[in-house]
Amino acid sequence: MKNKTFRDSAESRRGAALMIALLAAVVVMLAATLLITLTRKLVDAHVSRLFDAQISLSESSAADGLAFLLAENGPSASGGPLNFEFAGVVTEFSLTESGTAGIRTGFYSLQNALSAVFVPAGSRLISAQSINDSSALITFFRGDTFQSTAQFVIETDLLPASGISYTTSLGEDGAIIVFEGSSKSLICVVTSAGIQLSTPVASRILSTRSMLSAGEAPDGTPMLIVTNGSNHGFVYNCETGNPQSIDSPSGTCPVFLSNGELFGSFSETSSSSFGSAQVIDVFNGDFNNDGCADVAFATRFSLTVYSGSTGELLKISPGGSLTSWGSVEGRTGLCGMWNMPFAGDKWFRLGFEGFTEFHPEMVYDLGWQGRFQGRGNTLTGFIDGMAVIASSTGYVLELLGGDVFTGDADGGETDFFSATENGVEACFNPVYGDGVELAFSTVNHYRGNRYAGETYKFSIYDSGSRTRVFHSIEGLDL
Amino acid sequence: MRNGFTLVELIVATLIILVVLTAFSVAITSFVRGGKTLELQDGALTLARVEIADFERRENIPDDGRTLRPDTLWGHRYTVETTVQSQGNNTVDVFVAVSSGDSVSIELSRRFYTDINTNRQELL
Repeated sequence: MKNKTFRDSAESRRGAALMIALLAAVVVMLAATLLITLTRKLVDAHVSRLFDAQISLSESSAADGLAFLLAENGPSASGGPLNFEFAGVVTEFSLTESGTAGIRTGFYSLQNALSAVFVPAGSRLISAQSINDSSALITFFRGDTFQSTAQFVIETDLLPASGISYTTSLGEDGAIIVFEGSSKSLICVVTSAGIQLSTPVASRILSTRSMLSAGEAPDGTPMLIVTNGSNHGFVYNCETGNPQSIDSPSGTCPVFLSNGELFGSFSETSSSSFGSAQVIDVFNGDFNNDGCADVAFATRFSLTVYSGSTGELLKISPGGSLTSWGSVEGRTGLCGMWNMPFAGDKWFRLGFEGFTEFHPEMVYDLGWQGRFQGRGNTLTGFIDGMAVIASSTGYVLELLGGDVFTGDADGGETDFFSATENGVEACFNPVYGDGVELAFSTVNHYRGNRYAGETYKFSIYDSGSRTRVFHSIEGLDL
Repeated sequence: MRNGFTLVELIVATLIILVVLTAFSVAITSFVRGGKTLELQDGALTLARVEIADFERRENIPDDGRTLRPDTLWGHRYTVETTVQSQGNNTVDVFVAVSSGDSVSIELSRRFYTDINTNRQELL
């Protein structure tokens, strides 16, 4: 009995040893299986990331493609099938919503913007600001995303004082910026590629009422006209800094036309501008509809048009104070309002036979101050110091307040800007009114699988000669 | 009879453990090697995305051509190959291939429209 018990115990120990070995083996195998599973999951996750990356890139490419299609064909392009294929990914767009986009607005972010000089220059906004005693920072902002695209430093102890947009002979948008100190100046020509010219001038060239105009000499040298609004000024060669006297007829000032021609004639001696009317506004356009660039000059009492085709000057000065002026495309053309002593307000417009009086619609009589711009029944300009858009239907909307300046920073019509401490608020092409907004959901097909995509908002704006489309992912404002 | 395991028992148990440990070491080696490859591939993917994002931020897409440049990320060396190819009708395709040695290669592509009237959607 005792022997049997001993033998049973030894056999059970032998079984236990095998069990321990097998159990250990199972544990190790389980660990190995877990490792293999984990590796597979990591590989799957990586492949998924790779697929996601290409799918999102293809989807973005497709969104750009749809924007291109909408810019080419307008909102009606959204009616057809909207499938785009790129890199093996087919992206389908489905229109989910359509409505009004409102007037396009934006914000350019810039620290200490109130101390900066801003130059709207074609498709971008350029800022110049002093960053310390010996340097100034130039920043180029894109007109579509409002992000800075180029930034560089100019070594100067002078302060940025004023600037004007300048387009190079290669069509690149840039600016001529004038820096001033107590007794000297610096003329800088900048493009997004950097500083093209930086020319010191041994005197101050600006006064409080200086008006600038930029153009090119026949040999392509950038030139800057500086006047104080009188019919006499100086043309500065931006390469040498040498000034040359230039004169123009009374009621005008020397200026470059939009086609690059120079309005004014060089004079050997500095003529006196005493008694000459001070020009308070100069603006370009084709005011007599002959297809040639013209230029208009506003003084406190007169409005003068120089015809780029005939060289003729048409002037009106009916006897009162010119309080508002501008051009309304497709309606009255170039016109202005004079406040006549004892006769109230009178409006005159440029026609085939010169300036003639007319009785305007209500929208003209809202109290516009200075220059306005119009298209059809919509006018934009300033009323009571506010930038305003108004239409003949009675619709009036305040766009911007504060110290508003105008220019073109998106390659369209006149834009309005207002600097704040942290940047510049902008309102683009308000004269063209609201845009159209379309929302599209997307689905991507890749390697037999279906992937839900983002929802895109497309804002479509007509600005006369072209349609522009801006798009962003819903919930993510770019 | 003495206490303990028999020789046969020991041999069988040792064999089992050896086989299992060998399999485990293979799994470990494969895991470590796979992890390193994945790290390399993740780096390549990151570089490819950064390269494409750089194109998205540019105002103008460069002319057609192929560029090759070395880059490093997380201590690994890569070669970034970028090909720009105009397709006509205002479209330009950009291909970015990032490789590290012979084992790792990632390729991403993006189509751009050069018309100035449309803004580009940026990723990242």
